[in-house]
Amino acid sequence: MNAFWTITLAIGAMVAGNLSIRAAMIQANQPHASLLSLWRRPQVILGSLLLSGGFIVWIITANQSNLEWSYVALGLSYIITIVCAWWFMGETLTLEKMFGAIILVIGTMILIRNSGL
Amino acid sequence: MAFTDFLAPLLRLRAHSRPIRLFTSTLGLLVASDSCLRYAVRDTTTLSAGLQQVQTPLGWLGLALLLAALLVWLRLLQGHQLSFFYPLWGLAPLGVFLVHIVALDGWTTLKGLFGATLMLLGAGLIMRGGHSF
Repeated sequence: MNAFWTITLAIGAMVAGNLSIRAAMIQANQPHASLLSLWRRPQVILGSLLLSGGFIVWIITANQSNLEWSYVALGLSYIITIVCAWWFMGETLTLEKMFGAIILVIGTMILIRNSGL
Repeated sequence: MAFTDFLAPLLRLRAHSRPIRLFTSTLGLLVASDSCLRYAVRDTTTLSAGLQQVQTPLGWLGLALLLAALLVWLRLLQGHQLSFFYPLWGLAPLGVFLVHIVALDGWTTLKGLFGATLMLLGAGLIMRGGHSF
C-alpha cells in the first residue's frame, strides 16, 4: 500500500476513533464517571484503539514520506471531524471554527515548508 | 470602562481552567509522544520496519505517553465538544517545532515564523467561535 492510502486510512481511523469516543461519552451522559467505568464501554475501547493505531501509523508514514502533505491531510481530518460532529452528534458548527481550522492548516504548511522539521 | 472589565478575559480563563488544564496536558503528552516515536522510527523506510522500531525503549516510551494523552483526552471529551478541541490538536506541530529548535538545533525562516503566527491566529479563531460545552 502506498503512502497516500496509508495516511488516508490512518487519518480515517483517527476521525472514526474520536467520533466513537465522543458518541460513547454523550450516550453515557456521566460527566463525572471514573475513567475505569468508561473503559468498559465497547465504543470507547474501539475508539481508543482506532485513535492510537491511526496516530502511530500516521507518524511512521509521515516520517517516511512528504511531511507537508501528511500535515495537510491531518488538517483535513479536523474539518471532517467538525462537520461529522455537527451532523451526527449535534455539536455546534460555526464559521469561526471552520475558518480557524483552515487557517491553522495553512499555518502548519508554511511552518513545515520553512523550517528544519 | 471599569478597570475590572479589562480583567474579564482573565476571569473567563479562570472559569474554564479545568478544560484548559486537561487540553494542555493532552497536547504536551502528544508532543512528547510524537517526538519519541518520530525519533524511534527516523531511519526506517517501510511501515513494517517502522512498526518494528516502535518496539524499542524509546518507542515504548512514546506509546506510554500516547496512552497517557489518550486518558486525559477521554476525560476532556466527557464534558466537552470534540469539534472544539480536536482542531486544536493542530497546535501540536508548533510544540514539536519548539522542541526541534530548542533541543535539536533546528532552524526556521521569517516565513516559518509567519506560519507559526497563522497557527496561533487559527487557534484563536476556533476558541472565539467555539462552544466547548
